[in-house]
Amino acid sequence: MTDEAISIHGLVKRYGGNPALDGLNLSVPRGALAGFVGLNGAGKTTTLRILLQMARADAGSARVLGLNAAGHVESLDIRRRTAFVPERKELFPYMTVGEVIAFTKSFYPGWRGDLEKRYLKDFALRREQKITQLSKGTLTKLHLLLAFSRGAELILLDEPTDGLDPLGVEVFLQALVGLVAEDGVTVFFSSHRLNEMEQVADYLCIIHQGRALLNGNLDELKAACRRVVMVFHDDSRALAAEFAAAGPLKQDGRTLTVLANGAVDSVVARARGLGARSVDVQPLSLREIFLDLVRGDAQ
Amino acid sequence: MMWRKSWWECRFRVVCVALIYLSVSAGALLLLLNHGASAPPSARLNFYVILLACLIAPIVTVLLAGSGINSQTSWGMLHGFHASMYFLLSLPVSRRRALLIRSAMGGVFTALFVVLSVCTISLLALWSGTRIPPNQVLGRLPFILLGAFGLFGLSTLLTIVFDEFWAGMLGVSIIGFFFGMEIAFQSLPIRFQPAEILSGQQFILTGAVGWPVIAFFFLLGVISMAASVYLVERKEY
Amino acid sequence: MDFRLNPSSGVPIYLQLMEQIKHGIETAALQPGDQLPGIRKLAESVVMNPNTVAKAYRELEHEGYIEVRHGAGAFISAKLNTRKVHDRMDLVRPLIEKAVAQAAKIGLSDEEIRRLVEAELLKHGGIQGTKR
Repeated sequence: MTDEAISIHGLVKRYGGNPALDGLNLSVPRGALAGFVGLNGAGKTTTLRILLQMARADAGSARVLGLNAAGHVESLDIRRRTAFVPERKELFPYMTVGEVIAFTKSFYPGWRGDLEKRYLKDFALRREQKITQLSKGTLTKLHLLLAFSRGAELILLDEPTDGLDPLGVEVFLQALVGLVAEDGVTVFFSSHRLNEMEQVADYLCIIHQGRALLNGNLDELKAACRRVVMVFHDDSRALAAEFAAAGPLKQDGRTLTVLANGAVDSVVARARGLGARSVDVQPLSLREIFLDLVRGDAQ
Repeated sequence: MMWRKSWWECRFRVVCVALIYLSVSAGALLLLLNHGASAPPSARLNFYVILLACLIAPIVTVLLAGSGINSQTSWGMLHGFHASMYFLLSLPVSRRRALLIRSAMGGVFTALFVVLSVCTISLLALWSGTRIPPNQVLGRLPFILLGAFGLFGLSTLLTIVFDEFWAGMLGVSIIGFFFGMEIAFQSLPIRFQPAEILSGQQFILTGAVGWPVIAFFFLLGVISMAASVYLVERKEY
Repeated sequence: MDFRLNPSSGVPIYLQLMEQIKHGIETAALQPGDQLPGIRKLAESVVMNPNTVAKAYRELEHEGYIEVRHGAGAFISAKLNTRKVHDRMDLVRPLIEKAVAQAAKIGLSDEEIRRLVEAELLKHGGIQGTKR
């Protein structure tokens, strides 16, 4: 479907014996500002590398902007229309900031000189600076400039706030939001900063142990995910099994807590039916949803 | 801008090679001016050209060969791959193109080194009064270039498979091994002796081309360059 | 007008924005005919998703609070009967006052009262119910 910017089906990637990706299904609609969340080693960087043909999947398919990511000619086309900020922020040590910009610019006829100027100022970058002299945060800012000025349809970002101070993060988020608003650009970014992600993302993918745990509109996901805290008259251990299917469960004396993903009403009804003393339904932040899901999976 | 980038990656190595060229020229001069030597000038020259063809030019190929992707430094031989390659690989440039441009840059300077060295030796031979006619030196050029081509291909293949550090170590080790084997080769018929063929000596003396050696180094160059392109396109980063 | 949005509060951001704009109308910080910032400008200044801003504006237009004029932007509806808005609030306010006073009398803390209200809203799908 060409109205999906990214479309992944059953992606498998093994390194040695370990599956980095174990049947990943993921999709990102065009024009979305999508967050990609997962623990270290969950498969985020591997996914991004497969999308850009730095690595090849062992099974499954991945399409970017409607094109096959594994195709030789198609991958070149993908990279013409995509911008990437890698996890490792090193750049060519023998160049200066200005030379890296000129080098990158030469590949993109749609380069936005106006954005380049703006970000040079906003990120306080100077063309004469040597790459070897740049701090990590400054390197990240340069990467962001190179990605945002490209005139790309899709922007892939791997830890784009690496080394950025709070002001840098703010400038980054504003730039991101401005791009999506003005040019209808699709953004797919992986980050550990869940607060910032929650602030600007409208789409979410959670990856865990090489598979997708959640994938959809962020508002809808947050509406469906509620923490239900049930207090019973007696020890609730025996009742835990009743709710195990609803989601990650925590049992502590008389209290049973379940992270319900959808079907919150049926959980509440069942709790009442079992004679719960109190049933409390709590909304969750993205961070809480993520931690509960990931820890619950481990249990 | 891939050409300019390749130049940036090569330039310090080219400076090193230029220094090697100067020392080769100085060495040749001293050798030719050594009137007290027991061996005749032509024998001394032959020895020197064997040194050039079998040791110095191969080392130059190890210095100048590069993949354009695996390592992105211009100074030093890095352990492991430089992470800037992730950025480069995300750009719309094919790996084949990156490799071929970088190889062309390195290859041109390698060839330039060989040609300049040989021409300089020829001029010095004339100028130093040894009266060795230029065609006895310049006639060796195609053979030396061929040897360099074969080893340049091999060095390129090493830079694809290994990081800069190990590509360099292995490259120099292979050359040292090959050069050390020279003694063993001397028991073979002349047309199988790399030193005699690649220095062009046999051609100058007898007009014999020594096809086995020629074919070997030609195929070495072609096959390793083809393998380099094949591998770089399939490599996982 | 300054907007303060809390992404992790549990209330969808577009609803928070809608509520704050409605609050602005009630307190007369926003008057009929006033222009609201453009989608992009608001998204950038508050640092939130532009699609979310667009959604909030759409809902407000649907509910009659604002008018979107093509090419000109979004304006507080001139036809808005602010009195009617105040009346609705006036109707419910005494009920809330009574409930809060009673809860406080029993000894519930502010936090507990707030949680009760939120839980009630969530259970009844109250927040979802405003979606059309």
